[in-house]
Amino acid sequence: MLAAETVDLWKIYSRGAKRIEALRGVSVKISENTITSLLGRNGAGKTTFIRILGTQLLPTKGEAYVLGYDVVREASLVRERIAVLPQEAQPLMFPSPLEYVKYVLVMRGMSLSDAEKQSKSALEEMGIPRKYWNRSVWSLSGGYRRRVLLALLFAMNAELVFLDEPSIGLDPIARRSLWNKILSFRKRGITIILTTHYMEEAYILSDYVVVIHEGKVIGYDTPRNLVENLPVKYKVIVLNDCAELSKLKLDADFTVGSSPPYTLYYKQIENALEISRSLNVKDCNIKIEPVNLEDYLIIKTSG
Amino acid sequence: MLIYKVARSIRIIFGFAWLNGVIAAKRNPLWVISYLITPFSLLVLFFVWGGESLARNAVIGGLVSMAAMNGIGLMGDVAYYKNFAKLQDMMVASPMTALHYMLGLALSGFLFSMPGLLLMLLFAGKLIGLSIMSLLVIIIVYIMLLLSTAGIGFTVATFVREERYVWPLSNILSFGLMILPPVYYPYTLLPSSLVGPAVTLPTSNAAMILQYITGLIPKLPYNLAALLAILGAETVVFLWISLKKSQWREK
Repeated sequence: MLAAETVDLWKIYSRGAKRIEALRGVSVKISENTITSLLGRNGAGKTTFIRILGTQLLPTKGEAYVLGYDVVREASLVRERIAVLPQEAQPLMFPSPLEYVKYVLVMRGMSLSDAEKQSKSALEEMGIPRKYWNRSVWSLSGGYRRRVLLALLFAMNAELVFLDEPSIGLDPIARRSLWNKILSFRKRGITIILTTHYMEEAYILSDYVVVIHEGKVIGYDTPRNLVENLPVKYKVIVLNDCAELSKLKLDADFTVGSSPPYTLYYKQIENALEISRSLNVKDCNIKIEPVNLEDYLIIKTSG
Repeated sequence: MLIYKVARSIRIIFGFAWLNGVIAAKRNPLWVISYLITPFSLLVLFFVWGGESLARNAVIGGLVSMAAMNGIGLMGDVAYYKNFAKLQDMMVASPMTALHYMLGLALSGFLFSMPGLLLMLLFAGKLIGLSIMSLLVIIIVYIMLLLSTAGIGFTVATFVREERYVWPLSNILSFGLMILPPVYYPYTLLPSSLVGPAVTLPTSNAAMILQYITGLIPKLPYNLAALLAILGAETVVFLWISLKKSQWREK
């Protein structure tokens, strides 16, 4: 079964006389028990898409189904089965992590005893030390507050979880620990749809990546395939301005940047190496790297 | 199935009320005190200026405005949870409904106001003398008023995009619902053309009922049953509006 499916999905916001087309005919199918990342620039429509699937926002037209249920007509059935972590969410000010997770679970209809059990095990799993469990959430660091929210989300026992930029505010170690959790939840059969601006995160976690640009899907594949199918394979990053650069930019297959750092993209490694040899490496301060998911996004959505 | 649904709804509402009311009051008791400030300030002022007879009006006005303040006061919570904590967004995508959310907030407001309510009832007992019957009517009116003002506050606040917009709105609503209409004074002081509109406001309607059953005014503009029916109908209407017209799921 599909975890989510949209058919020609549109969302148009009307702000006074202004009409903003946030989604313009998005059609995707997301399989169950997968991790799918939505990538795109700010304002591309990722959050709008996730909020429509999460039943928080009504679409303007088109169809959207979650776990086989229509998000407009069968929202209550969808809501029994999903959990959402909105972008920039914060735990409440006064409760302790244990109280917050426990009572939000009760607010979802869980019994008090189950909520207590679930919240303790989720806090444990998210690596929140026991000494913090009964302090006010707001006495904790930003990273721990984020972990409390994630603990809550995963304690909900949902079949499908939406995470809108889940790793914002987490240090590199905590971010990796979150990745482990997300991967372990997929092993348990939970489907995860997330948005992120961290390309490494998307590459490591995702079975599939959906790239949205100006309200349209411009790429949908495994992260590896997206990168492999790019017409360019290597890039030369030039950190400083140097004499030969303007001529060499003309020889590149694709160029990004009107001031340092410049990125010059090439189809062949030989071209990239030749360019790097012709530049004064010390003056220009260059690096040669294979292209990655970030380059996919830059090439497909810039200009 | 119906029993299960009702039991689950009660659990959801009490869960939110506990989180938002009891835990918050325990961690920050100043909040409880802040709810008492306006009604008790007016009580002190009335007592100093007019002695016991004016203080009786202030006690009834205090009871009414405490219920209304809780209802209107939840606008701040709604806007904060919606725009900053994103709790509303999380709860929309859950079995919780707009009505559960609103009732949970109203109940937490009730829990917050309990110490003040008890204190005000003590004053009422001392200054006016309360029978069991009048106490029962006070409690019923208090709950209806809390629910109807919570319905108004919730519906308005779900459309607010920024917490800061709530502050002036709640002050204006408080003035329009508690100070201007005959809540702290008898309706007989109003020009007769304004008595009808005053009956349609839940706060002044409730104040008329309470002033009458505690003997502060000798007669009502309409009979007691009609005023109670209007308040009851308003409660149902405002709850219905909060369920159907609030910005729970965004359009």
